[in-house]
Amino acid sequence: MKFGFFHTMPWTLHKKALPWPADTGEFDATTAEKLYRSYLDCIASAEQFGFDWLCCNEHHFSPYGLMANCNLMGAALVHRTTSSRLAMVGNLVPMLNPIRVAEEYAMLDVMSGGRLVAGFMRGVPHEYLAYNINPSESYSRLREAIALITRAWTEPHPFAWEGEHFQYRAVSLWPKPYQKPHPRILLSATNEESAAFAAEHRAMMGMAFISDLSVPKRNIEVYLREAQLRGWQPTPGDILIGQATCIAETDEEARAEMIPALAFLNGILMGPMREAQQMVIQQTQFFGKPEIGRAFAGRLAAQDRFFAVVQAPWSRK
Amino acid sequence: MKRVQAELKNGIFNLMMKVGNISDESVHRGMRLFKTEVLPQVADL
Repeated sequence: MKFGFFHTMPWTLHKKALPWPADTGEFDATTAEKLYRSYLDCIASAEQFGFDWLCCNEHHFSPYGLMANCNLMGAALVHRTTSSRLAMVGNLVPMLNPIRVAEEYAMLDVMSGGRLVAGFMRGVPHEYLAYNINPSESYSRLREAIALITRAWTEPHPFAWEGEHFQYRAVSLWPKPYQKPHPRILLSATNEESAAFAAEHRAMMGMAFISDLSVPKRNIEVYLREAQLRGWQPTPGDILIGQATCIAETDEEARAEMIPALAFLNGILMGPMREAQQMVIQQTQFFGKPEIGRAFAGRLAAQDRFFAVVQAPWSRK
Repeated sequence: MKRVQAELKNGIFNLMMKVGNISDESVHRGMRLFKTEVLPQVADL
């Protein structure tokens, strides 16, 4: 079993939820500088505590996280660590320049001696408002971006790209990734459609904030079935489960700390995002199937239930 | 973790330990306990 350490680098000084887009009047750069230093120290130290992966993510226009570009955090971690995988979970490729993503990921992989896990995320709905990208194009943009990035990583000669969303006269990536043919790709698989998409791309699948096991179990079944149809066999190492986690001396202590922290996360930090997400879900084809959109809306509504308390067996009588 | 892994057969857990405004002291305590108490019991899953 491998373990990742995930830290969203939140701005925790807000006292009340803000409407979308979150006003930055209370932001203070001096405080943020201290937070970045403290948070980076914390993430880097996770390697010494037995974590195999150090995970960074990308979100926009929200106090939820100060990582507008997780690759910058990855670069800051490269020389503070020696063995842990640096998992970018990840770049929101449908709304970014795919060549820039390919370049930065290749740089991280080379700089770290092949420790990159390349997360290609579609992003949660509100990101599309932030970057002014049509949410209805999210899957087609993701599909094309992955094809372009993997070709840019592996193609030894310059090539032209004339796609539906991206066009380049000549692509010739320097540097190429350290890992061959390229770093392992991780895709989100929080519904059956995205699970099949991950299998189609021979990628690892990741699910976070699961409220019960029935949904991920079904998604994994789809992932395994689709992979088999495409001629490959995923291993347990291809399946990532993410959970908010508190470890304390006793279950009671963990719950006492986690419940208000989750209330702050969902009420204050994610308040603006959830407002924007509902807007996108209602007014676009972000989810190709309406039932998936309804399920996502349900997840948003129930998010204060999404946590795990690691039971402390050493404390049980 | 054991129950989830038995059901889902996953090989990776990604633990989000800085949750909301939980204190940094709690996060560091959790990391220490992860190494000394949790990992020895779940590393071989």
